[in-house]
Amino acid sequence: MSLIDTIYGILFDPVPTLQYLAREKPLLPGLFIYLAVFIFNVIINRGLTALDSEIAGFIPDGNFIWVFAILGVILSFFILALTAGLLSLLGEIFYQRGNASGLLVCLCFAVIPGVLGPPLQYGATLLGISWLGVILSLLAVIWMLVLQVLSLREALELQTGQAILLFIIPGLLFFFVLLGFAFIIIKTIPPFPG
Amino acid sequence: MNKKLTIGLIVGFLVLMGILSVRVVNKPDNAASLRGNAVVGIIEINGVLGGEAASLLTTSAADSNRIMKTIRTAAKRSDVKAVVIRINSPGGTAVAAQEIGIELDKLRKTGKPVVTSMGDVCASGGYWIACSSDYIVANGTTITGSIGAIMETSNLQGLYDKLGIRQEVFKSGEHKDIGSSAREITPEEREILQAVVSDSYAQFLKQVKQGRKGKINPGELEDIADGRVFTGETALQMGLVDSLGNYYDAVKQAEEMAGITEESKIEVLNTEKFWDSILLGTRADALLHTQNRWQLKY
Repeated sequence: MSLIDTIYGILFDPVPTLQYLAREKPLLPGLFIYLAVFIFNVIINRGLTALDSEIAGFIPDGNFIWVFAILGVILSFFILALTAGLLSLLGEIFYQRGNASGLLVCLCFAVIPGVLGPPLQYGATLLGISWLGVILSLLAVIWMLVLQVLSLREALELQTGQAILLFIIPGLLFFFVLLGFAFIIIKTIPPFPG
Repeated sequence: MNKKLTIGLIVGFLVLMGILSVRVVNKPDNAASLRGNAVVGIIEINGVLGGEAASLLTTSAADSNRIMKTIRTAAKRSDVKAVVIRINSPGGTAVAAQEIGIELDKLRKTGKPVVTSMGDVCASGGYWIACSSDYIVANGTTITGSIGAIMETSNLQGLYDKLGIRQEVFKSGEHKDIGSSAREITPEEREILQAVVSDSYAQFLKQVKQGRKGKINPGELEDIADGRVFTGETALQMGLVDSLGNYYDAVKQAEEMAGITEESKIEVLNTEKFWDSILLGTRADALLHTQNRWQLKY
């Protein structure tokens, strides 16, 4: 399957495409796509903030933007690898199914719809219909999330319900850890006298 | 539809948006021109005028370098049709006021009207800057005026004597340590420094006369230009300002002077950059900031 076929497949025929990716594991094209989407979104988001002077003040200028972008690339690759590893580990623990490298490749390609959100928002903002841009951008994010769940399902060969559960477990764990920390902090604060 | 054609269309759209985005980032006026808005640029001058940036680690200051840069941006941007200078400053160093004034004069030469909107205080160096605008709007209770120059130095000799500190000076000329805080100022030095202050004051008067030409009587100006301050209302009677009103009245005035009939976009051109305020504060010169021995101030 060529790169164009893969991109087309992810957008319009995701299930067999993800099955192919989970099986063949084309890591380098996957990382290339992930990086390209990230860089493109940095550029478009810079344009979006330039259109809005009120938030432009929070965006670093000149060379600093590239320092932040490079740090962002490194961090996002780290998070991507961590996510694939963690979800695969959880898959092994709960369902005895693991395929970390296949899942990593699927997650790389699952970000493709994310490349559509910011440009659609940008175009809508230029046309003076920024509300529509926000909705389209949100839809792109939802599309991406759906593809991530499908990636999990196809890479680990799970049922849809199992994949959804596995997908939200890290978030739930994080939430409960935060809740635990908050509880500990509240308990350690001495009560006010009187 | 053909796969290649579909992907080609998507990539084409992305490339187009990417190009537009890069253009907007590199040339800010494209943002507004793409939307078809005329922009009234606001340049805020807050705090004491000086040549050093404010940061989290230094005191608040209106940095003349950054303000000049912003004025030049306003001159270059084709979508900025008029500029409102919002001043809330008690003055500062003479050079900072002069530099900003010169840059504003250049901006006006491009044909873009410049209107001053006075905030709480627009005195001394702040008023110098205001004189480089086409029209001045003050609030009734704005404190303005304070036309004059001042230079201060402290004689700490008595304190040094008590502490047993004696400064050893090696100088190339008689007046190289003029204004030293370690000794009494000599009559000759007093004369020299007074001449500097008087010359600077004469330049200030010239600036006001030029800026308020036809609006204020030069003879009357010299009577009131003794450093005193006025309310905006009194300043209006004396011809130091053109009208009373708030910030939005100044924007409206700028729109009228620029002939803007449709709805304009108001854009603060020197919005404080969050990252700059942190990063500039860690610069060595900011950390090692020391007060000059003496400064000429408006």
